Amino acid sequence: MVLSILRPYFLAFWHIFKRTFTVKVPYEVPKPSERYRGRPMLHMDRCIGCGVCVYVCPNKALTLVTVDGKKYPQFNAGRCCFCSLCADHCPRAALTMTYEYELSSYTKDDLIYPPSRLSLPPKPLPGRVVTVKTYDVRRGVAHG
Amino acid sequence: MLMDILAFLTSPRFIEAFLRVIVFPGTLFTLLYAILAVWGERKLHARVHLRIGPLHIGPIMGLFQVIADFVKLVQKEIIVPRAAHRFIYNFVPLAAPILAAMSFAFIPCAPYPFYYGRPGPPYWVIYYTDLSLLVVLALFSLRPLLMIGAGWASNNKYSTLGALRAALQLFAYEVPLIIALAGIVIAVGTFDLARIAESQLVVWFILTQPLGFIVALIAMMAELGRRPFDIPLAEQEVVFGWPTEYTGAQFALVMMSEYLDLCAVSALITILYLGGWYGPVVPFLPPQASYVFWFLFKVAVLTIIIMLGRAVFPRLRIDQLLKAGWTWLIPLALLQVIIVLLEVDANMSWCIPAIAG
Repeated sequence: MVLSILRPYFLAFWHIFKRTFTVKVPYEVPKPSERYRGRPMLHMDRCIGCGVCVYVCPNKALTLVTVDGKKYPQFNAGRCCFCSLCADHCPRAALTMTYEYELSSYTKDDLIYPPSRLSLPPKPLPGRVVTVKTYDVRRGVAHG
Repeated sequence: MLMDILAFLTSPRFIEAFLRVIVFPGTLFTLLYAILAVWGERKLHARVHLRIGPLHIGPIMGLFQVIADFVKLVQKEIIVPRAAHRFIYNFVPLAAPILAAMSFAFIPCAPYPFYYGRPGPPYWVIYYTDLSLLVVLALFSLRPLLMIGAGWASNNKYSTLGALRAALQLFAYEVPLIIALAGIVIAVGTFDLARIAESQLVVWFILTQPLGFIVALIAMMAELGRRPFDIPLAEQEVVFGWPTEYTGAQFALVMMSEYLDLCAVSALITILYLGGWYGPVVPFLPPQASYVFWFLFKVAVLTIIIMLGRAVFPRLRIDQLLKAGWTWLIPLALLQVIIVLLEVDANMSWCIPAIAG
């Protein structure tokens, strides 16, 4: 009984010196994984304006708009659920998912990405990028 | 007249009393301890949970987070429930920190540092009395009274339930605590905390009375009402127990009193069981400073041990605590007292009045 009381004490004590599972978020950000599904990005040179992305979008985050006589998708970040269906269904791979996840804004109009803005590359991450060890071959998903 | 006041204000006696009351064992030390304890507890629990904890505010590691929280709480509105007993409701948050800090007037922190041969007791203590252990225990047992008063005065079922739980918890820890401390009083033969500390120059009481130390530590943790024993405050059962209705500055004061109590309990156990201010000589420190250093060091270690209990253990039920108190702690404490009696007088002459009576 005494051991069952003391053991968790020592366990908790050792945890103090272990590496933390979280990072100092505004100053450091965890490295996004390779297939991270953030804001989609439009490659205007590849887009043929077929409208498949608009058709498959479950939340109607994408709408077709005409720019210079050609049709392109327009993106509404407030409606997107980051399912990546548009990028999966695009026949020319003109839509790809990026790592950009800081999409909040002060106005609703700011959430709308017209094709010219949607085709911009993602902003750099807002802090020093650190790698968080989350997967260990031996232990599976490892905490700390 | 003015010169008399100036002479009084600059007299060594007044400066010394000022240092005692305002700086070291008094106000500044306890407040600084409370701030550092809240910060340290948040950091410690974060590390145990493999998190980072407070981060932004202050020069390093979110050190000023507690001050920011305090400023935020002070800005908030003080709400008194319509049906509350206004006097008691407003009195308890003021009385609780004062009561918690008052026990520091009787806890000696070091020997008298400046010179010897001065009239008066040779200890660094605000008010010297040879019954200091009794006084401190009496102050500790006044705290549940405030809890019950606040719980009743709030006129809220959760506060009342919390107050009743606090009253019930009192039965579990008060008796074993006093029996365990009786072991020390019998061994030393005095209620004087300073002389109890001085008698541990060679061997600490944690070595000669380990059972008593364990019982006293558990009972003191129950008295603080911290995590394994936070039955009066159980968030999942009674919203926040007896201080449920307090807001803003009153809530800050109630929380502060909890940490001042933690400080007083750590200091008391340090004096009673961990050898008080005695310890190996610290290099590069004069002996007077090393006394203070060892006292503060032991207080810090005990605080961390008590805090880790909050990160480690789940909350006990009230019946589990009562059962543990009456079937484990009291027999252990009594066993300790009997062992001490045998050590003090192997002829068992202390049996005679018991038999004759």
